[in-house]
Amino acid sequence: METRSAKRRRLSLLQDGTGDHDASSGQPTRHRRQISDLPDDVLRHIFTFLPIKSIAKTSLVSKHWAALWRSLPDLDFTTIESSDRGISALEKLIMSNRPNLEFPQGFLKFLYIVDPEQDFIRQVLRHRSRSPQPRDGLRLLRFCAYLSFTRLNNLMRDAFRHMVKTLDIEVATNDYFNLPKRVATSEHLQAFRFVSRFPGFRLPPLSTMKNGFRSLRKLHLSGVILYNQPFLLDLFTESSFPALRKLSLSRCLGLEKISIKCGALESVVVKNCSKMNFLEVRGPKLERLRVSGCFPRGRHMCVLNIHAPRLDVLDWEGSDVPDHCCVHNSNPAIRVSLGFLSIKVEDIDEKPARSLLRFLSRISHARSLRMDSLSIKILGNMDGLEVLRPFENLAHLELSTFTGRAYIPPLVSLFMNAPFVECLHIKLVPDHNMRKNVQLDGNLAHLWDESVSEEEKQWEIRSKAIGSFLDHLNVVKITGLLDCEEEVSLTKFLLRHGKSLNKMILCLEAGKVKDSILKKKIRSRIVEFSKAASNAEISFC
Amino acid sequence: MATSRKVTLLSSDGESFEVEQSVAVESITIKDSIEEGSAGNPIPVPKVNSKILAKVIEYCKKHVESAKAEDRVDDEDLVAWDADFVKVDQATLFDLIRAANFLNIKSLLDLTCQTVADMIKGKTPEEKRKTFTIRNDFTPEEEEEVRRENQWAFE
Repeated sequence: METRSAKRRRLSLLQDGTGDHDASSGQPTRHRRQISDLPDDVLRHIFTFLPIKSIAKTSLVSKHWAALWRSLPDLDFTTIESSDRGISALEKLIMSNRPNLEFPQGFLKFLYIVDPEQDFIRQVLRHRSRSPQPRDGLRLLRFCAYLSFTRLNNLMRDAFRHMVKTLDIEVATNDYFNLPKRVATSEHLQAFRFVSRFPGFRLPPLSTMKNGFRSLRKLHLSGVILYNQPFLLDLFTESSFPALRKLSLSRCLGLEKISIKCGALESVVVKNCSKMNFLEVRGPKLERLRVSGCFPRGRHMCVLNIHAPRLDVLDWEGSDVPDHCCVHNSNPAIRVSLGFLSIKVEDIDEKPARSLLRFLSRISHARSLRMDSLSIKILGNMDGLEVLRPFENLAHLELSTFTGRAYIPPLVSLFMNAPFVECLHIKLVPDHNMRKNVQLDGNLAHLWDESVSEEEKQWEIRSKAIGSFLDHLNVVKITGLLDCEEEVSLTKFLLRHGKSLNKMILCLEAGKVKDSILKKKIRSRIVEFSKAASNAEISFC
Repeated sequence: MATSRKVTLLSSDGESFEVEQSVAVESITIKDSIEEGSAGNPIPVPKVNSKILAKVIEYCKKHVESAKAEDRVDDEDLVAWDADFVKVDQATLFDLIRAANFLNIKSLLDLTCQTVADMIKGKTPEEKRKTFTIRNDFTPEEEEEVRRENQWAFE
């Protein structure tokens, strides 16, 4: 909002105390305290709190305000509020054109129809030239619509004519839309978001794309049709997209293999590319990588190659474990989060476990690791988990795990290989397969039972093996206790052996047991467990 | 962090206000000048008279205090306090906007601008002119043309 020279002027005003001049206009202030005396950039800031129709209406107040509207740098047409009556008329119109169309809930709220009689976004853009424009042209154009190809092309052409910097479009069209070449050739475009809700769009020719986008810093594409070019290995090369810092690809239909190597990239997100089986990401500056809903389980081998020495955050979610993976990264501060595709117990054999172990060994230098319950399930099927490479750097471990004896060995293997963890967060998840065998004991007699349960015994015999892990634990948080038939053996075990334990936070909440008397009973019992660290503080949430 | 270091702010009409540094640096302008070592002592705040400066300080104090309170001040209470804070006459409101803009206090600028936006929204052009005492400098033809230009906004 403020240029450097304005800032310098203002700071020098503070120093000299010669306060008689208005810094922005250089004219003496006459202390006229009307709204129109506020500086233009302040008036524009006030407008940012209004929906766009309200801003347009202010242009009727006076010539000054009309000029402000016509030179407004940001045009966000998604702030149009539709009345409920308006929506159903809209819906009817869309449905009459495309009876099979299904829009996600809430999409229609922001939708406007470009009536052939009234193409108001184009009108707004055309009328802007009646007043002096900001030097840098249009800063932002954002809209969400159901449009014909002609209208969409016209709108985009007008936007580029106004040197738009950020173009944010969400559309539904009648058929596959071809993204115009000028998207790539615009010199001013810095951020481009194009989401096709239905049915999808095609990219411009590869050569146009590779030689274009010279100023683009952020790119988000969703709904890309790639059935005819399932391999995107030559698009995001080291030299293409020279300014691109953030790349986000979602719902690339038909995409199987992609290679992303642009030199300036800092963040990459690949989502819901349900046929993808090859992903290569290289980036000397890459800091964040998120992969979600890719790598389906199936016939193809899934290959993952990451070459990113500065990677700080790796999120792997809702995707299968890669069969081959190569991670060139030794950043000791890296935080990794893993969540895999749901898998039936019968389908778990050695293969996913081996792949997971390989994956884990590639990220064994991580500082923080979060794993979902499926990871433990997969690991639980493997014998000889000693092949796991130790997590020497791991300070923060977050696990979702099922309870029960079957899961103790993989947990122990993990703990054995994470000797320096300081902060442990365990989310207990009820295992619906096991549930049938467990009797729900409303009286919780076993909590009061002095005899040691089978689970506790299993933990105890392994206490020496995970000695280092137990010695380093500082903060432990356990959630989901009540959901799992009061599975307290792990809590008891950690309290008994955690010599450096500072804090234990237990979340009994969530789930069926709302009985506060029950909760109180459990609390009072847990507080009585023997503690290795006498000043360990137990708190409940 | 220095505990209870105080600075003195001097309004444009010569009144001094002693405040904790942690409160004063809610203003990025003041913060920058302190860090750059170019702030005098007392720090002169031109263009902001004592009445407005007192209110700005009151705002900053409240927000700094509620951010570090041991038992966090309820967000709802702070919102209610803010709503009360901006119940002032228009002239004062605009003075507060200018001060917040000059002193670069984002939360105060946003609060006051949102208040003005709420005063604008929903009013007809004539009502807006009346509320803010703005002279209509359109001829009837010009006004009609602007209305046609923005017809879509009225539907």
